[in-house]
Amino acid sequence: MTRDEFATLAVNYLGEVTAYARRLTRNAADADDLVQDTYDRAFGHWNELREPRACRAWLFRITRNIHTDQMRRGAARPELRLVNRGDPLGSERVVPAESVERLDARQLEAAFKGLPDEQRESVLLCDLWGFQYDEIAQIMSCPLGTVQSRIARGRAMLATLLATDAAREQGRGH
Amino acid sequence: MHCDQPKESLSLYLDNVLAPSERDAVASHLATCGICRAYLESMRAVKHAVARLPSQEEPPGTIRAHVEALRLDRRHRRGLKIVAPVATAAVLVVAIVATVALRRGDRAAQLAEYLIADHLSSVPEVKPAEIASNDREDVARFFAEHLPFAAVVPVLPGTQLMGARLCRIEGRRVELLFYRREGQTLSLFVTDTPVAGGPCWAARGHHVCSRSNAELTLLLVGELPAEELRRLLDESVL
Repeated sequence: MTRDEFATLAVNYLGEVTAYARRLTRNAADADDLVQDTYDRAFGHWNELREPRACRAWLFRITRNIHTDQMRRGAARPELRLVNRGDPLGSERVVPAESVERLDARQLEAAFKGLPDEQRESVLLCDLWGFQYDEIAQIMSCPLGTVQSRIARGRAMLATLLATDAAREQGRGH
Repeated sequence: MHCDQPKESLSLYLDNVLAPSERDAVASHLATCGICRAYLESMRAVKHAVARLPSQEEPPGTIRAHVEALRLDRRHRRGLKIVAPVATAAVLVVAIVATVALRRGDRAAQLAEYLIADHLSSVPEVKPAEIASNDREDVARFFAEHLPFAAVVPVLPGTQLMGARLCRIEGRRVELLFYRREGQTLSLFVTDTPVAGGPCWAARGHHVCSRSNAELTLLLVGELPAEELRRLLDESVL
């Protein structure tokens, strides 16, 4: 791959990297810094990228690594983490598929806020950006089994949260 | 109602990542278990709902400009490397001068486009300012925590300060201040980095004008005529 080929690919993914950075930081100014740092680093190390098809996941991994470093250094503000609410895979609370189909983006985003960070990120990487499990494991620097578990638990918790919301809405209707 | 089927396997089944034998086993179970079928459909609906969220977001124009500059920087250098061995010294000097001039002109025009794009997408009517205040001291305090240079909040005659947000130009964090004048919003970028080109550019029905001193460059963006923006900058008080 030439540098020009890499540059074209990298610029094409700028919108997705921006969306990912905003999800990670939840703050526009920090997200802008993160996107810029990602591209500075990527353009400095582009020749370490072997396969053009790996470019997108590689950029996401750089974004996440920089964000993780910043969090460790305390450069970014600490994020609140949720306490353990129990095992969502054990709850078997099922939200009817037709209720989910009626959801708007705002309701779904609100439910997402109830997920632990790693589960939310895993679900988004899989279902929003369409990464394969092995790519998600590379981006998040964790074992494949952990990715599988996080996605399953994340979806289950989302369904639980959405079912709770749906029940509340129904209660209001009566 | 309860079923002992591991729910993680249903998530893996949904994503089609199970080994064939495991997949067959889950499919057989699903054929006879209504609880798991409902659970799977629920997970599938959640997956599809997530996929409908926006996967891309437009970065600020200044960030896009920075990334474009990263792309262009090395192209020019590589072009010169190819030319150098075959060019005479005179041709090379002309080529370098022309390239640098073109690049500066391109970059300045491109930057103006991005500043106008940021103005259009960042004004408080479109997106709430990070600090909404007409008090210069409040706004200066907000910037003081975030900038690599001493924050200033200029007074532009005949305008009212509305608020501000952080932004970037050429890789550096800068101030983006919003002012209101006769029903129009003006954006003022304040940076400690010299900006090539100027003093005024025009694009998309807007103008960008600049004023520099030894430490700072001010870039004012709005729909007003260029002469009016220049006058506001010339009469501004730092």
